[in-house]
Amino acid sequence: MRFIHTADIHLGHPFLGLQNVPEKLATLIANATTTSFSKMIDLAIAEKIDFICISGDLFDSQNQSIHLLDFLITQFNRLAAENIMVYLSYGNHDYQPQQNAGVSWPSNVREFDNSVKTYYQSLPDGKTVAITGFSYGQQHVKTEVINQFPLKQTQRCDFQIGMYHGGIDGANGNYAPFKVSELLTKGYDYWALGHIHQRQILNEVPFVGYVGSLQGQNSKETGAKGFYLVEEENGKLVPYFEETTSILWRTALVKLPQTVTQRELLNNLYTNLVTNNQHSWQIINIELDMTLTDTLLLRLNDGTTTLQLNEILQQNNQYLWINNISYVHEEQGARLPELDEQFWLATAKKVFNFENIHQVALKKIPELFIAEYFEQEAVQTKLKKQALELMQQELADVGSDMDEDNTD
Amino acid sequence: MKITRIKIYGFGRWLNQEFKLNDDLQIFVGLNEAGKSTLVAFIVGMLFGFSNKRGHHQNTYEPLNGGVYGGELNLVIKGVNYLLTRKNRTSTVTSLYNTDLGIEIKNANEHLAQLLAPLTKESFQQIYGFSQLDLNEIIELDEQELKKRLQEIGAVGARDWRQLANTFDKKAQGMFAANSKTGKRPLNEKMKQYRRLVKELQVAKQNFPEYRQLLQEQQINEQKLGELEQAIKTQNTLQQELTNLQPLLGLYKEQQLLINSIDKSVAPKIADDLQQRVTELTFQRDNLIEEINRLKQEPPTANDDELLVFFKKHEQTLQRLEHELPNYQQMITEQKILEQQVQSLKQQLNKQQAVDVEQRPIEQQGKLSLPLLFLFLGLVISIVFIPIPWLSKGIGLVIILGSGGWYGLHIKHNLQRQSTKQKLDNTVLGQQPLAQKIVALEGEIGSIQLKISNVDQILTHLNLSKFTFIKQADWHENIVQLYEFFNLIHAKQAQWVTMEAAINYQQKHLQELEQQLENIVAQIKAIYLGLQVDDDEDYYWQLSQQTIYAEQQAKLKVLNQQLATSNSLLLEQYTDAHQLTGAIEESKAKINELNQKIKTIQDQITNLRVTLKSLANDASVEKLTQAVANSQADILQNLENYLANSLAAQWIDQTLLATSADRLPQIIKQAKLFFTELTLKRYTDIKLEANELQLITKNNELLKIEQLSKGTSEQLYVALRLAFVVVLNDVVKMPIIIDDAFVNFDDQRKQESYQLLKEISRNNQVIYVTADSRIKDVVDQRKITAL
Repeated sequence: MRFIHTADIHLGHPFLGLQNVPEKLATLIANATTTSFSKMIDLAIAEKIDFICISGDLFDSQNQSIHLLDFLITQFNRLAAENIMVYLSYGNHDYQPQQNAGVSWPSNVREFDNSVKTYYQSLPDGKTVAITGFSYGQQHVKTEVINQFPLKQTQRCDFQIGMYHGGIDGANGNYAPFKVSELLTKGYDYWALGHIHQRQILNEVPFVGYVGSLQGQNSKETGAKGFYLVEEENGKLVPYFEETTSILWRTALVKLPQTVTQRELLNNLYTNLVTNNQHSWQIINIELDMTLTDTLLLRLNDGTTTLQLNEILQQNNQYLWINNISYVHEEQGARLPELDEQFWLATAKKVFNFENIHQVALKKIPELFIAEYFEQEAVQTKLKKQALELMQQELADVGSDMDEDNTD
Repeated sequence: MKITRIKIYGFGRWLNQEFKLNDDLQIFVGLNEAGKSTLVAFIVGMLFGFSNKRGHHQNTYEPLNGGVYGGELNLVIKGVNYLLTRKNRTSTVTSLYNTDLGIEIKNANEHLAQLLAPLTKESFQQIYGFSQLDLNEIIELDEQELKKRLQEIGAVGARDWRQLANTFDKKAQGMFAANSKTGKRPLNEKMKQYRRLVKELQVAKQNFPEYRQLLQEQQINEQKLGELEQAIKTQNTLQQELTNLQPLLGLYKEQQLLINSIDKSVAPKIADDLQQRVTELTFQRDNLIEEINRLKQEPPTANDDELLVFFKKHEQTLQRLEHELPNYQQMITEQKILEQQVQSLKQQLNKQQAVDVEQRPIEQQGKLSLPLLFLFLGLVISIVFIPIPWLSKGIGLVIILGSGGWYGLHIKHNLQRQSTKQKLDNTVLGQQPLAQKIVALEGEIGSIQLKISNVDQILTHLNLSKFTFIKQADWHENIVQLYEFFNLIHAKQAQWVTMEAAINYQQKHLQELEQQLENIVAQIKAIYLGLQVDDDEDYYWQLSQQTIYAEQQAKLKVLNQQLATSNSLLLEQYTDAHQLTGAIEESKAKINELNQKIKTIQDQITNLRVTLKSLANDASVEKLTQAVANSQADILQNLENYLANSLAAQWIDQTLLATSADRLPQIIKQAKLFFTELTLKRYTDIKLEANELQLITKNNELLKIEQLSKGTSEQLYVALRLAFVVVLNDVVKMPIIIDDAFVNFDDQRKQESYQLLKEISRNNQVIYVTADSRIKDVVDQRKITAL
C-alpha cells in the first residue's frame, strides 16, 4: 500500500505581504499553488499510489473561483482515470456548513462530513485499509473531536489511518483540540494531521505528524514545502517527504560590514544573496545584522532599500524577490529622552493602542483587514519603534548629513 | 552641580584662560566679541562633549591662536569635587578626577554622564540655557504658540519637540487625508484603487455561484444521459429479445400445446428391449405367417398352370395320345415307309401300293412316377392343412383324387396299347404279297391314316394351338411338335414333381413354421399379458401411444432446447405473432424517442461544456485575489508610515502635554513668586484654569496670556523657566547659564531680573554673561568677572 498525506493546500489563497511584484513573477505567483498541486498529482499517478488523504484546508471558502474549481475537478478526474481514491476532509478554511452545499466531485473522491466517519478501501494485495476522519462545519470547532474516533477495528481492516485537522491548543483551542496520547490510544497505524503549515512530527511510530502545505504563501512559511509519500514497510507506515515548492520563501540572515552609503549597502546585499545556480524563484525576507547609520536605517524602514534592491535584481534577471528587509539590532534603535522618560512611556500607552489608531487613521476606513492588522500588539509596538526612530532621525539630522567620524 | 573653576587650553578666542567661579551668582561682563558666548559654549562642551558635527551653522570654536583644543572644569557634584579635563575636539581625550580622593575615575565619559543624568546636552541647554534668542522667540510667537510654549515650559525641549511634531504631522498629512473620503493623497488613492480591485474581484466572483449551478446542471444532464443510455440499452435488449422471440413464438405455442396435449397417463411402460422383443417376435410371426401363407399359396397346383390344367382336363386323351405318339410316329414313319413301300410297291405295284400308316399316339410310358405320387400326396395333405374352408378342401381333394384315378387308368391303357401295337407291326409286314402287301400296306396305311385322322380329330378337338402346337400339314412335323408338346407337358410335369417335392418340403417346412408360429404367438401373448394388452391392435395402439408420447416428448425436448435460451416469461405475454410484432414496433418507437432525447441532452451537455470551459478559463479571480492581497500589503505598509509619523507627532504632543501638565502646577507655584517679583507686584497670581494660564493682576483682574504685553510675556516666560529649574532641583541641580538675556528689558525690569537671579542663585549656581556693564551697579562686584 502506498498513499499520499497532504493538507493545508489553500488553493486560491494569495501570497501575503507582497508589493509591486513584477509581472512575470506575478503570473508565477498566481499559479504557484496550483502548479504545486499538479506536481503532487503527477507523482501520485507516476508512483501508482492507492489513495490520497487531504486533511483539511484544500481551498479557501473565501477565495473560491471557477478556474480553481475546474482545475480541481480536472485533477481529481486524472486520479479517477488511474483508480486513485481521494479522501477529503474540510478544515477551518474550507468548512462546509451543509452537506452537498458544495460541488459534487468525481466518484473517486470520498468526502467526510461533520460527523466522524470511516471509509474502507480494498487494496490490490488483498488487504483492507480503513480511513477515519471528519470535516469542519463551521470555522471554529471547540470540541475534542478525537473522542468520537473509534478504536482500530482489527477484524475489519489491516491498517487504519486517522485524518485530523486541528491543533494541540489545550482546552481553549478553537480547532478541534487534541492530545497526542489521545490519538495513540486509538491504535491506528498513521495519523495524517493538518492545520499547521510546517512539517512537524509529534510521534514517530505510529507516525503522527503535520505535513505542512504544498507551497508557502507568506513570509512565515519558509523552507521547502510538499507532501508525504507513505510506504508500507514491514507492517509499518513510513512517510517520505516529497517537495513540490514552486516558489520558495526564505529568511536570509545577512551580516555585512559597516556600510556608509546606500549604494554600497545595495551592492553588498546583492553579492550576498545572488548565487550562480539559482533557477527557481525565491522570495526572501532579509534580516540585516549590522550597524547602520540613521539615514540608511530610515531608507530601510520606509521601503526604499527594498525597492532599489529589487530593481537591481530584476535588471540582472535574478530569480530573487526581496519581500522585506528588517533590522536586527536593537541597540541602535531610538531611545526616549531620559529626563521625561516616564512621561513618554505613559503617553506611549495612550497613543499606541488600537482605539487611538482607529481615531487617527481608520475612521473612514472600514476595511476589516486593516483593523485586524492594527489590532495586533506587535504592530502597535512596531509603530512605536518606528516613531522613535523617526524622532531620532529627525533630531540627529538637525544640522548635518554626515557623521564626521567616518570620514572618507 | 556647581562649577568652581574654568581652565581653557584653547577654545575660540580663549587661550590658556582660567576663571574662578562663584558657586552662587557668577557674572561675566564683556563687550561684544569678548568671548562671552564662547565661554558658554565651552562650558556646555566640557560638560557634555564637544560638538562632533561639522556644517556651516556650527561654530566649532577651533582655537584661533592654535593650541590644544579643550580645557578643564572643576565641578562639585553632590558634595564631591571633580576635575574634568577634555582635550581635542575630535577623538577627545577625557579624564575625570575625584580630587577629594585624588583618584582618576575610569570611563570618564560614562561616569560623567551618570553624574549629569538625566540631562543631555540638548535638555541641559533647553532647561538651563537662557539666551536672548529664546526671549526673542517668545516675543515673536503668536498667541496660540505662546500659550503652548508657556504651558510647556515644564516639558524639556518643548519647542524642538513641537517643531518635530509639526514636521511629522506635515509628512503624515502629505501621505494621507484620514478624514476625507475623496482625498487625492497617495494613501487615499491607494485606498480607492484597493476598493476598485475589491469590487472587480466581487464581480469576477459573481460568476462563481452561477458556475456551480451550471456544474450541477451539467452533472444532472450527465446523469440523465446515463439514464437514457441505460434505458436505450434496455430497450435495445428488449427489442432484440422480442425479435429473437418471433421465430420462437410459434415454437412456444407448439410447445405449450404439446405440453397440454401430452397424455401423461401414457407412461411408457413398454420398455425398449421389450419393444424390440415384441418387434422381433411379431416380425418373426408375421414373417412366419407370411411365409406360411406364401407356402400355402405358392405351390401352384396343376390347376394353376394352364397347360397342366388343360392336361388334367384332357388327361386321358392326352395320355393316350402321348402314349400312342411313338406309335404314331412310327406309324407315320411306317406310313412313309409304307408309302414308300407302297410307292415302291406301288411302284412295285405302282410299284405295289399303299403304305399303311398307323399312327401311334405318342405316349409316354406312363410309368407311375414316384415324385408325382409324393406330390400328389403332398397336395392332399396341403389341401387338408391349408386354412381354407373345408368345402374347398373337399372339392380340391376330389379333383386331385379323380385326376389321380384317371391318370392311373390312362397309363395302364397306354401300356396295353403299346404292346398291342407292336404286335401288330410285326404281323402286317411280314406276311402279305405285294398287292396284298400293297393292299395290306395300303390298308395299313389306311388304318394308319385313320388313326392319324383320329388323332387329327383329337388334336382339333383339343385345340392345342394355345400351347404352341400348330397343326402342320406334315404329320412328321406334327408329331415332332407333339413330342415337343408332350415334352413340354412332361417337363411341366417334372417341374410339377419337383414342385411337389418342394411343396412337400414346404409342407413340412410349413409345419415347422406353424409350430414356430405357435411358439411365437404364445410368447407374444405372454408379453401382451404382461403389458395388459389384449392383442396386437391393442399393443400397437399402446405402442403408438407410447411412440406418440415419446415423439411428443422428443419433440418437446427439441422444442425445449430450441426455446431453452428464450425468455419464457416474455413468451407467455404474447398470444400471437401479431401482438409480438406490435410490441417490437412499440419498442422501436421507444428507441427512437430515447435517441431523440439523448441527442437533445447531448446538445445541452456540449453547449454547457463550452460555457463552463469559457468560464473556467478565466483566471482573473486568482489574479485579482493576488492583486487585492498585494494592495493590502501596500496599504498596510503605507498606513504604517502614515501612522508612524502621525502618532509620533501625537506622542510628542501628548507627552509635552503630560509633562507640562504634570509639572506645570509646581512650576506655576514657583513662578508666581518670581513673576510677582519681576512685575513688581503688578501681578499677584498665576492660575491654571482648564489647561490655560491665567494671570491675576493686583487689581484682581483676570488676564489671559494673549492679553499680556510683549514685555510681560517675556517676564512670564522667564519666571516660568526659572521656576522650572527650581522645580527640577529635586531631580537634578545644575547651574543656570544665561547668555545675555534681558537685553531688551528696561532698566527697571533688568533690575528686577537681577534681583531674581540673586535670589535664585541661593539654590542654583547662576552663570550670567552679559555685555551690560551697568550690572555693576546692581550686583556685588565680587560676583562680576570682567572678560
